[in-house]
Amino acid sequence: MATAFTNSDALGCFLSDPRGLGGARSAVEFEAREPVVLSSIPPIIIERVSPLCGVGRATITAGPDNTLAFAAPGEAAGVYVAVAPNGRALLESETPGKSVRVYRDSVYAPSDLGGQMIFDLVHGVNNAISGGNITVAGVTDYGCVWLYNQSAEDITGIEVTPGSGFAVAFETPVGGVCEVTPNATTAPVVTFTGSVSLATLAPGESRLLRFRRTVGATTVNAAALAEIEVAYTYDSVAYTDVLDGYYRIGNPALAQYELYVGEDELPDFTAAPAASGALPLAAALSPGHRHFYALRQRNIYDLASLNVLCESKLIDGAGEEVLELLSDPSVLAIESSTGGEVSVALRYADMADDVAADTWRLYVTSDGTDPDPDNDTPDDRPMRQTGLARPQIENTLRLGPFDYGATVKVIARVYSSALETESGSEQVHELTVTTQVPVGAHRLGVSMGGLRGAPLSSVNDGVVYYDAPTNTVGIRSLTGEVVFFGSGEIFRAELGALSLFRTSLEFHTIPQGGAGAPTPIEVVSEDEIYINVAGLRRAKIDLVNRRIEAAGFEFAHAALDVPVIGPVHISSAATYIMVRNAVTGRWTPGIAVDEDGIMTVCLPVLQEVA
Amino acid sequence: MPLTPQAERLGLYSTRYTWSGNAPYRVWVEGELRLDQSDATELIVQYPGAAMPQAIEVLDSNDTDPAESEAYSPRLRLQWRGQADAAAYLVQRLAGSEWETRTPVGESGLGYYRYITVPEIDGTEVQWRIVAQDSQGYQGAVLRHTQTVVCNPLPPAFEDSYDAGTGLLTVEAAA
Repeated sequence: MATAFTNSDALGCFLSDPRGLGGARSAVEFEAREPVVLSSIPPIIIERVSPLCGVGRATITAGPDNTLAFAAPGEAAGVYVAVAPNGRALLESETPGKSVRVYRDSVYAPSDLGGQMIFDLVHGVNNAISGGNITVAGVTDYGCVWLYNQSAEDITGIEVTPGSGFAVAFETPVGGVCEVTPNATTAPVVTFTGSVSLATLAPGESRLLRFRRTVGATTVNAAALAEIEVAYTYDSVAYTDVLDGYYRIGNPALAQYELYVGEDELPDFTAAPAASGALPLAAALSPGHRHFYALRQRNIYDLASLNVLCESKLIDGAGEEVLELLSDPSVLAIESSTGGEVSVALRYADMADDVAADTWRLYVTSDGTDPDPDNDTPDDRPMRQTGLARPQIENTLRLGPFDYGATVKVIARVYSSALETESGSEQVHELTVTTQVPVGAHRLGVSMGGLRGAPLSSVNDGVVYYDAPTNTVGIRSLTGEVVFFGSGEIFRAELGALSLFRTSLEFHTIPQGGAGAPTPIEVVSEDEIYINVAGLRRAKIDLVNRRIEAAGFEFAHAALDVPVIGPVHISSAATYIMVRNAVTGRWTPGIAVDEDGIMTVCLPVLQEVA
Repeated sequence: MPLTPQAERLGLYSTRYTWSGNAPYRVWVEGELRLDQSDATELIVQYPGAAMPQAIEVLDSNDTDPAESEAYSPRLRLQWRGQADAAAYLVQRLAGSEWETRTPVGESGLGYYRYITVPEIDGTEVQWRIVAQDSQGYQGAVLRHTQTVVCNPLPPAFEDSYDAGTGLLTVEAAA
């Protein structure tokens, strides 16, 4: 038996206001179950699923000679039924009445039937039976469906029993038409009762089944099920069908915002909110704690937002908010690198802060104790932009070298020289160093035939410090890169696909020339460093004022040909800080400071913003 | 009872979620199942646009109730039947008074086609339609669907302020 409703369009019962209001019988069948097709047999269209099938996963399996068998959710398949090209068939599962009607569309797919169709049966929502959503105040409204015998035999013993809140009535159409009502709240002229019956529905005959939904004041329910049971006999077999669909019962009083607050921990979203109602909402924050908070919204169906990401405020002991102007960086990775070094990959969302930080600030220990940002001296490194239009800055910094097996602990923050403040992370990242600082000469050579060539370098990749035993000023030399550092990075000279001399310091023409140490690099403090030539200070590194001072500067943008080894080479006429070419093995000056105090920068300069 | 994951903002465009409970876990983000029966206890979610909290639901093996993200999914599932003369189907959403094509779906002989929409906003009435199109670009049958969405509300946008005099945190609707 088919059921249909009226005044619908193509998608029928799944429209927002799908209720039939009388009039002529529609061609659109009522579908209490929607098949969600996961895999298909291309020619097969599922036209209708009997509601008795319930919900869950069902299958249609192709057998020999273009036959199909249907298995309703949770039971075995029924008998195989042949389906002719462009023909229909009713496939019954193991239980009579659990069925699907299918159509074989051989125009769309002329192939034979094969494979298996898998589909989930789900309830309809806001369909012709369940109607629209209501509130807890209750409702009385009306709808209708047509019962239509599309078979060639009588359908007998029709018993219609509605579920709770429904009353029903039959109306006999006159000339194929029933009374039209203007809307779902206007009562039709029929007498509703708790059940109705009909002895016989002849082939091709229709009967309008009207129903009244009366829901009194009730509780909120985001998925209430409306049901009308239809029992009948066809071909001496008794069937029981259920016309059903979900509707929702809302309570406008539940609609509110909810503010959740956690003191020194994330809020408990399963507990009562700190404040609720309409915005604005307020909650007291006790002094001396960090407070995490999140705002959620609850709708009339008692469904709340599912966000857990919190904002936070730090309130000091006097009840004042501690302004945290900088976001913490994220430590993407921390790992033991070559030569006893530790590489730390950092990411900072610079656009998230009103005034962005410009410096990575790391607190590092290697003796197993946790870093103490209140007392330790930070290791500051300039941030380098990682590309145009990139929404965050990602840099990888190298620390160390450290002893093999040392436990290195790092707290990563960012620092803004404009705000003169740093972010507040206390998170300690830890690892054990698993590589070793090379000891002894690095005997790299080339060989030509049977002859061993001369060594290209006898200097290790590694760090040379110039203020031992403090070891805060030095030159770190890696293949293709040399880094000169004091309390912060002074410059970084890189050779490779993109040769660059990177520095965040300014070049100031201030002649030097005072008496200095005989060493090429002279350290007064980690902020005051000199490059000497022949015992005279010829260039000054001032990390307090963040500048390089020399009598003059030349920017050669081309490698000088100084065939000596680095990373620092001193001659009577100049001091060179050099970088080793990874391909040729030759050392190339990154800078040269001559006896006249002229500093020549030999690579293209990238002046980075401090 | 769903787990409450911890969230850490990794930048403007990604968030790391971590949780603990009894594996395996199922995790939904914005109504989409991201982890299914997984032992993972971490998920990094990247998303375009401005940083904003997301809807995340984590169920562990102790949970027997269906996830709200699934029972009240913010995403509509559109399904339609292939047509013999169609070359493609235009999935369109009504935006104001204009139908915007979200994606074309090619006719490939599968028989049935499905499209999962973007997350819709709770309480709104949305309209989607499927327009069949032949190889010459002529459009044919239109299947149209209107739905009032009922799902977990979006995390609300808000502005906050703190008054040291009263010790009160106040949140209000974002301007």
